[in-house]
Amino acid sequence: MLHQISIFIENKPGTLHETLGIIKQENLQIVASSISDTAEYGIYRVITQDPQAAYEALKKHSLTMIMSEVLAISLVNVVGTAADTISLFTQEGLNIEYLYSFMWHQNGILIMRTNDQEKAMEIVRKHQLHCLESADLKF
Amino acid sequence: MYLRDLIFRKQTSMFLHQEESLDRAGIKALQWQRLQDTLRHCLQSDFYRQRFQEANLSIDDITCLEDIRKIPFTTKADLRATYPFGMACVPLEKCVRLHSSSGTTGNPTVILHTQKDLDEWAKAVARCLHMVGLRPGDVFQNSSGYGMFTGGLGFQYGAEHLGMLTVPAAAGNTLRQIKFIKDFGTTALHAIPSYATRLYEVMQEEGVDPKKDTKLKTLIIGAEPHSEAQRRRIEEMLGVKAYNSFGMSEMCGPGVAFECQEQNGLHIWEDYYIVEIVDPETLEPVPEGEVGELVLTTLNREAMPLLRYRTRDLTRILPGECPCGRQHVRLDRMKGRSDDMIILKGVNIFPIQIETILMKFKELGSDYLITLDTAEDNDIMIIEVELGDLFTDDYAKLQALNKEITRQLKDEILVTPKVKLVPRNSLPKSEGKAVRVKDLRKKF
Repeated sequence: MLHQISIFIENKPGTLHETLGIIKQENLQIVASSISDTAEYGIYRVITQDPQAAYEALKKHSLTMIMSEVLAISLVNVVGTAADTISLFTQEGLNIEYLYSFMWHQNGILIMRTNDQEKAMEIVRKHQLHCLESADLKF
Repeated sequence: MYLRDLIFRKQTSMFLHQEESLDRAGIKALQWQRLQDTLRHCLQSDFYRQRFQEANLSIDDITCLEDIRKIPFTTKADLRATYPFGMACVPLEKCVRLHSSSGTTGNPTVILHTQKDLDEWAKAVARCLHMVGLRPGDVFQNSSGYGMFTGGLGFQYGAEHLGMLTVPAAAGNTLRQIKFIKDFGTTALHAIPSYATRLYEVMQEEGVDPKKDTKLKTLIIGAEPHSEAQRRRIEEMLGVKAYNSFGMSEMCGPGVAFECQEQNGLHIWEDYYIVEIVDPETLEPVPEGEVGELVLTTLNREAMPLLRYRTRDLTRILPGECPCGRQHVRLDRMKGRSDDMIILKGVNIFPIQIETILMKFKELGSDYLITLDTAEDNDIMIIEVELGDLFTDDYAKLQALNKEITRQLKDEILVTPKVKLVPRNSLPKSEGKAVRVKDLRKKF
């Protein structure tokens, strides 16, 4: 599992820039990020190296945020692997709340959160899926 | 020897002053005597002489306390019209200080003080602080603005009068406030409620645990309307007992009314003031225990006594006796100001009603902004409220929270507001009073 920091930001011009400015000011390396929004606000989800230190650094700026754990499944970079992998979860009746991806050492990484993280972990073990841990992100 | 005895008395006795211990009959007798003195004194001024003439009223028409109702009201408009010294009842050379309001909504108002006025003010504040258990040996830090704002010097002289070590930290510079609290062993702090919350937030950011790393035990809060829920939240955050303080610059400042250790209503010092509660529309007294506008007559002011001053604060007198034993009446928590009331779609709404609901939600922070606006010829209310720490990154849960807040607000204020969740520290904030209501409606 990877640690992800989710930051609540207002949906108006300049707010994302401001948040990224803080991340830059604290000298944090973004590994992956994703943003989704409603009419009024968005949640900016970001994976950094050394998440605990990143969280402490961002806390000083009193951002509205939470750190949580997400599945990060490493896939061989071949057409169709994402579809095959997701089907393992949907067959078991899990709902995928959100998903985004990034490349890491020639592999595609799927970050996802389901409505039942425990059951998701069972599926990971059953099918021996390879998952990244926070420590894997160190250069 | 004498001083030590005095300190001993102060540490053990429940009452700081004999007047504090009076029963109802004693209070009434003292009020009647002081009212007569006050009226005679007032009539030395052109302002009050003219007022009495216009009302065709003579001092001989006032034959008992209840006759006070014959006397015309004074208002903030009078203070503005006579700015700066037109309502003085002593020659200016007898005055030693003045305080002036900010004048954000018109001409500023000025209150003059003789040395005796300042001494009486300090005594009143000392009595309040003594009532909540503060004693010589306590360290009292004041985070009020000093200068013209009466919460600074008012608490300063009162706390010194009681014999505490005072830390006149003044407003702002939160990191320095926290350093003082730690280094000087501050046991009692005076702060407006929104600033108490701010202090806690900064303590958290700095890794200071107020319960372990400070000696804070008493908080004095006032000057800003706040709900019971907000008080309890502040108490829990800082690990203190928080007492409500009520004052206003026209009545010197702090020290008018204060909670005792029962934390149920604010005793107003009736040896200083005659209290009336009137209907703001008809100006007639309201039935006992009902909400109306607080009207005060000062009983021991020299420089600028005020007769039947309309405070615009809405409150009621709590019925029954206080278990603490003091017989000075208790005012209920202020319900708002008669000029603060929001009228939306014909419904009367007080910001404190909204705050009370918002404070019930643990997911929310303490700051909010109510905006009234016109959309397609309809009046709407938008309530922006800051989140605390983010409790989820799940949109569905955020939307559900939004819905629940909206539902509870509608139950309370009978109109459906648009609730917007915003990040913490994103709403406009001043070191002084937090901005709570903005009215952008088209005026027809």
